[in-house]
Amino acid sequence: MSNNLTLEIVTPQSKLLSKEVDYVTIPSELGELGILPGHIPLLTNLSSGVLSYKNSSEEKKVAVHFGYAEVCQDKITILASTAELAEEIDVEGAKTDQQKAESELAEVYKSTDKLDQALELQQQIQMAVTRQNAAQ
Amino acid sequence: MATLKDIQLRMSSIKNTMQITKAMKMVAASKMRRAEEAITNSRPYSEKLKAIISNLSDGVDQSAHPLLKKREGGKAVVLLISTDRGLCGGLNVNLCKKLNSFMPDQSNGFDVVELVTFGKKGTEFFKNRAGNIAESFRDLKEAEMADALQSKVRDLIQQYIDGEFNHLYLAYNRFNNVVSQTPIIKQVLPIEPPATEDSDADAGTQFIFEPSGMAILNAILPQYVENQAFTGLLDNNASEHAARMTAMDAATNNASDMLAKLQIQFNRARQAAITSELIEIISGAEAV
Repeated sequence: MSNNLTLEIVTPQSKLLSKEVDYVTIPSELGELGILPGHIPLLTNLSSGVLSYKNSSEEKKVAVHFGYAEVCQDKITILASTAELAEEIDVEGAKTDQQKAESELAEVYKSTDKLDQALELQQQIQMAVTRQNAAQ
Repeated sequence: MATLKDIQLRMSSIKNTMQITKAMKMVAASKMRRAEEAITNSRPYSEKLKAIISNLSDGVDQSAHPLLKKREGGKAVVLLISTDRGLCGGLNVNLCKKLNSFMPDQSNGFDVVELVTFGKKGTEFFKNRAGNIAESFRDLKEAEMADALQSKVRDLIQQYIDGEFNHLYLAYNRFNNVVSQTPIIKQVLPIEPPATEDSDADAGTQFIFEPSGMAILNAILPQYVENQAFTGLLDNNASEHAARMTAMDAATNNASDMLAKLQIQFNRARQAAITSELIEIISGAEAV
């Protein structure tokens, strides 16, 4: 058993990150999961949340939104629909996105026939919140 | 015999055309670089997705999921991704011809075919041919096209689950490299789980699925289909620019060859004119 994990984050647009790390927390659909070296093979859905990793030199956060995580032989692959490194996040933009989506959602709730839209807006809000959390 | 003036006119018109083809080649080259980058960036994701699906599908009953279950006969839908603009060599024609011979082939296991076309060229090719076009998207910007494709694929997946048709194919040009693109017709639905790559160490490993294998499958399979369509679009896009670049390069070369030939013709004609004028003067002088 090695002492290191390899973390790889890929999105449909690019390969965001590939790094040796000691410890990773991933935002799975059922809650946060901490992964240490030697973890049993695991495949899980991701929700929108903050992924954080730690190695000897740094401790960093990444916002990941929906997708899958595969843990296999000390290799973690994150397939996210979208992902952003914490330092690249536009916090102001995320805040305005959140406000916009929230006000739209309030509108949608007034009528009952737009459930699909409500779900989508809720996801948008969640993503905006995640981005702000990751940037902190 | 062409006069000097005729040749000159011809040369200047060729020069104009050459300037246009040269500029188009340059534009296509820079667009291709971007498209190529997009496609290379997207490949890791699709490969990983494929690997996960092949891992997953080993563990579950193949007929358990509607997107995996095979159904015979019935209707097939083909998503044809072509380009909006021409002047890109035989790119669209090759693809359309391949599709044209593929569609009436009953041995593929379907009876009727319906086309959904993206891009003007494919639509025009099949307008007067067999295979009815159910819907077509054309003259859209790149991002709009991707959105349109995504929402269409989502609709199609739902329709497939509802049993409205039994096969979904994707036809596009695969970008191999700058000089080679291959027309591809790929079955997307029902999903045939990709064969596990033997070199991969994690083949056959027993995974824990959270929340459950089925739940992940439910979410990941539609995404796999969408991703295939998306990469198809990227591939076709890169192919378009690459093909246009090659075509325009060839056109520029042809134009400069032609110019060289005309230049020689022009010089000869000019010399002939001078010679005949000299003869006239000399014989005039002798006569005096």
